[in-house]
Amino acid sequence: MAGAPRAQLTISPERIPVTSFYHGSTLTADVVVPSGSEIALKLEGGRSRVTFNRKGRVFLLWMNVGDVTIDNAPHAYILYTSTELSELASGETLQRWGLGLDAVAPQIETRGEGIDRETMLLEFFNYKEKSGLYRLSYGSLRPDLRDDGHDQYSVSIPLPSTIPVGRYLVGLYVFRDGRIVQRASEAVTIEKTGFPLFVSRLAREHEAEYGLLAIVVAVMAGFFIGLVFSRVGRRRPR
Amino acid sequence: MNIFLYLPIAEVSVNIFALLGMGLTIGFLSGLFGVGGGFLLTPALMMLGIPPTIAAASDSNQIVAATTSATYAHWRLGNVDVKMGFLLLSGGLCGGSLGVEIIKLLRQIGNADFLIKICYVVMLGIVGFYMFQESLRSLRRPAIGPSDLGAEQPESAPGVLLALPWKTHFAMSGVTISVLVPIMIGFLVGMLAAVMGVGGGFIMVPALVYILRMPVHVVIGTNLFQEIFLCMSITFMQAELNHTVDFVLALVLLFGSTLGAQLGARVSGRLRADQLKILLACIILLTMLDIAVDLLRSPSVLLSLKAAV
Repeated sequence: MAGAPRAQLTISPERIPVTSFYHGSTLTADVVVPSGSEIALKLEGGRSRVTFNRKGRVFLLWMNVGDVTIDNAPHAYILYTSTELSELASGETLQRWGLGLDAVAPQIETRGEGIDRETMLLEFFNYKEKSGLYRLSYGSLRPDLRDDGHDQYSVSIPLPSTIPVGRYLVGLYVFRDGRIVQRASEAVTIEKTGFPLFVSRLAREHEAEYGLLAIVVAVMAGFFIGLVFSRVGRRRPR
Repeated sequence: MNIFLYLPIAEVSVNIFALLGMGLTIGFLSGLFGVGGGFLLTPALMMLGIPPTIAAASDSNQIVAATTSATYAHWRLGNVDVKMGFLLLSGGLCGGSLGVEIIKLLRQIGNADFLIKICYVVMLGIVGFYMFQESLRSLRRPAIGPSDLGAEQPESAPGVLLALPWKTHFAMSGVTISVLVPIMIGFLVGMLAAVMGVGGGFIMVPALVYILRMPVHVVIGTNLFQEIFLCMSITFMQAELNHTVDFVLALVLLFGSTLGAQLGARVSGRLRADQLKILLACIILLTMLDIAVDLLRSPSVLLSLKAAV
C-alpha cells in the first residue's frame, strides 16, 4: 500500500465531562479510508479486578453459591465492523489486535470455585453485554460517502452512563485482503467535573466529615419536613 | 418527563422521578408501620443499576431522614417511648456487632446465603401468618372504635420475663418490666438483622407487640426512634470505612421519603391497631413470597456485582 492515502480517524468530543445531569453521551468517529477497504472500529479501556456473586441451583432454589473474580478485563469494549469478523482477517490477526471477544478472552484472568473458566467468561460477557458496556456489531458500518478513492464513515458510538470514568482508546483498523494495512487511534477521556467531582473528592479524602455531613443533612431534612407538616396540620380548618 | 441525575459515588445516572417515587413509597411505609423499608428499597435501587453496597449504605442514610420525619410525627401523637427506645438501641448495637461476626463465620463455612435466605423466608412466613391470623380474629370481634392508647389495653408480658430483676415502669408503653428485657430483645433483633442484612423493623415490631404487649402505635413510634440512631451509626461507618454512601442519591430519596413518612404517620393515626397489624402482616407475607419466588425463578444473568477490589 505504498503511496496509498492515509487512513484518518477523528473523534469528537475528546473529553466528556460528567456533570450533575450527565446521562451517558454519544461519541462521533469520523473515518476516512482508501476505497475498497474493510474496517473495524474499537473502543476499549480501563482494566481492574472485579468480584461477582455467582448464582447456582441447589435442589430447586437459585442462590449465591460462590464468588467469581475477573481480572484484567476491559471496563468497556465496543466493536463495530464493516463486515463479518471472520471475513476481516485470520483468527491470529484478530487475536493479535484484540478484535472480538475470542481475542479479549485470553487477556482475562479468572478465579472461582466449582465453575470452569469457559463458563465464567461466558457469564461475564453476558453480564457486560446486558449492562451495555460490551457491544459487538459486525457488518453494521457502511460508508456515508465514496469519492476520490476514499470511503468516509461517520460512526455514532453511544456510551452508557454506567461506563466508568477514565481514559478510553478508539482504534481504527483498516483491512485489505485479510491483512491489516493501516491503523489509527485516538483517546477519549471521561471525567467528573463540578459537583460530582466535589462530592467524590469529599467522600474519598474527608471520609469522617462526609459521613457526619450526610447524617446531619438527613436529620435536619427529616426534622424540617416534620415541622412543616405539623404547622400545616395545625392550620387546617376542621 | 425524564430528568436524569448523575450519582457521583454510584457512578450511574438515574431518573430523578423514579428515585423520588421510590422515596415517597418507602417513607409512607416507614411512617405507617414503623419499619425502615430497606428490604424493599435496596433491591429496587439495584434494579436501577446502582451497585449493591452503595444502594444499601445510601439507603441507611435516607432512612435516617425518613425515620426522623416519622418519629417527629409520632412524637407529636405521643407514640414514642424514649426510655424503651434507648434500651432497645443499646441491645441492638451489641447484637448487631455479634451478628456481623456470625455472618463472617457463616461465609467462611460456605453456603451462608442459602441458610440466610431460607431462614428469612421461614421467619417472615411464621411471623406474617401469625400476625395475619391473630389480627383477623380481632377484626371479626365487635368494633371498639378508633384506636387510642386506652382502647389498646395490652395484656401483660409472658411470666418468665416478669420475673427478671431491675424492674422499671415504662409510662408511655404502659408496661412495668425489667430493663434487661428490652436490652435482650434489642440484642436478638440486632443480631438477626445483621445476619439477615435486612428486616430489623420487621422483627422488632412484632416482637414488641407480642412479647412486651406494648400498644401497636407506641411500638411503631419507638421502633422508628431507635432506628434513627442505628442507621446513623451504619451511615457513618459505611462512609468512613467503605466510601459507599452516595450523598446525592440519599438526598433525592430522603426528599421523597420524609414527605411519605409524614403521610404514613397520619394514615397510621387513623387506623385501628388491628387494621395496622393485618396490613403489616400482608406486607411481611408479600415480602416473604417475593423472596421465595426469587429463589425459584431462574436468573437471566448468573453474575451480580459483589465489590470492586
